[in-house]
Amino acid sequence: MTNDMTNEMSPELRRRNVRTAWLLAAFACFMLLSSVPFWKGLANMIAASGL
Amino acid sequence: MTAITLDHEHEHHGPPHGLRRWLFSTNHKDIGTMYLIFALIMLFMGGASAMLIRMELFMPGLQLLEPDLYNNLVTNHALLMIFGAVMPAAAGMANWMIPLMIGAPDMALPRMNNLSFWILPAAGTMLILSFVVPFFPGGGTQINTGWTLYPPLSIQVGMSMDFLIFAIHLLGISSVLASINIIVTIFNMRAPGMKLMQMPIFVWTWLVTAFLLILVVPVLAGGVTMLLFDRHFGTSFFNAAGGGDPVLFQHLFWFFGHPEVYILILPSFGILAAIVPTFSRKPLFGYNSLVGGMIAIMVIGMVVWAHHQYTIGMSLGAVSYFMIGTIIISIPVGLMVFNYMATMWKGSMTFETPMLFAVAILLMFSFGGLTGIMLAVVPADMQYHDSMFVVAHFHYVLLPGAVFGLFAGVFYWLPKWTGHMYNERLAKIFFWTNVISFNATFFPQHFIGLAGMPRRIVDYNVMFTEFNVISSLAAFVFGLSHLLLLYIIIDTIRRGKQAKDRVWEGAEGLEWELPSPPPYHSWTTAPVLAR
Repeated sequence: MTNDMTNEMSPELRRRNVRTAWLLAAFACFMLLSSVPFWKGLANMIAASGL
Repeated sequence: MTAITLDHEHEHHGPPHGLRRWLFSTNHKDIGTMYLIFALIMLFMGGASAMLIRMELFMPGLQLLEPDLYNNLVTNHALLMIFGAVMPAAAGMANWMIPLMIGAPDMALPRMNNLSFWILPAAGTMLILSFVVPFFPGGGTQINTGWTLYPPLSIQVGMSMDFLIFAIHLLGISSVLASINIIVTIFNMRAPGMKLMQMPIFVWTWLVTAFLLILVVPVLAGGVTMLLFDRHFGTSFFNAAGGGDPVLFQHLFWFFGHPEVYILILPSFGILAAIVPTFSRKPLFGYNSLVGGMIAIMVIGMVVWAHHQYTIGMSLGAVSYFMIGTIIISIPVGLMVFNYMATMWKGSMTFETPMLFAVAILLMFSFGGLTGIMLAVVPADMQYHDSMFVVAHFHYVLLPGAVFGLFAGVFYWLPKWTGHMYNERLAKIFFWTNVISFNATFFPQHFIGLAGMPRRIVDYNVMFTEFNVISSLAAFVFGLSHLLLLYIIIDTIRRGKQAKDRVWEGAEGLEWELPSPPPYHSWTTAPVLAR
């Protein structure tokens, strides 16, 4: 079953795709949010330890 | 797994007509085509800036460009090529080929696929504006930072830097959305019975690349957001006067920037994994080790970023770690190269244009890898750092490793995409012109770099003149040769002979079971794989 542009997929598969996509998006957000404090903290730690 | 049961009852109603087809397209082939066209336009824009750079460097002294404009062009060239040309071209191939290769009817999230693409022209416009804005009254200073955007210089640049930061955010969003889509497609949309370890290597390379993108692009987004805050909101993340540290930005940037090299290279290595067995008429050597190798590249590639920053004054322990890690990464990269060579070994090889590119890539990329090991060695890098040697090194890595791989992919799959064969004679002329002029452009830069010519400086000492003249003349040939590529593509679409379904004699895989060109909706019924 298709419309003129998109192949239709079963509701179950669509739900599974959307769920996986949200999981990956959450992971990307985690990388974004963690980058600032994590890398700043790491830089501070390296500077403080005199490594 | 080669034999398959096919369902040829593809839907045969055609695509919608006019602008609507492209603007609202959710079809993976249309979106793939748009990515490829966008990349080609950006390739010519980035190439034009490279030509201007080489014109200026043709002779010592100032010829055409003021120093700021020269550095603006250097920044412009890098960003257009990396974010505008190579990444979208690879994404275009992923869009076209992954669903065909895994027997999926389309990408998992077709509407998001449309969004991923249509963010790009907006981002590209913003990127180009960031280079153009300084020429207008009140436009501020030009972006003279290079693609690395290091503070404090990037904090002092005028409003064009804000355009650039916004462009990077948009490009990042587009990349992350596309990556999510690719991962979901590979995980959830494979034909029944196709296990992960049975997927074509091209699909594997994109799975690894997509994960890399999700891991590192948000960190770059975090870095440039902090830059934006330092510029406008009074923070001092990178401002030493306010207690910040400009080196922090370098860490953030290169945590993205180094894996970015693998993001650019891996899809092209996936293309080689399709081409080399086809024209060697042998199965791919060492499938499992190739998969393991690229996962190792992903993991190690993420923890060696500071080899770009040896000169900032890290401790002996830190530089030793980054040096050893960097040298270790040559093992999985070398493994991939050796696998391709072993595939060729005792094969019935023929040298059509995609295979010519594949062989040339292995030779030239290996050379770029060797100079990479030279640069990984800390005491040596202290001498080479910021010299033309580095420029020669990364062009030997990125042009063969990424761009030529994409050219090889274009020649390999163009008959499948268009249903027409390209002109092999013209394609071989393009190959030889391209490869010879590339080497003549960048090989001499090793010598002038070792002799002490710095990069990102508009003028140079007269002692470097001869090699720069050779480099510039060859660069003009190299740049112009891409017009031939454009001609070949247009000629193929308009006048090419009808291509067979299985275009190449030795080609294996689901994509070759479909007609050339594939129907607008392919694999509407999943193929049944036979063992």
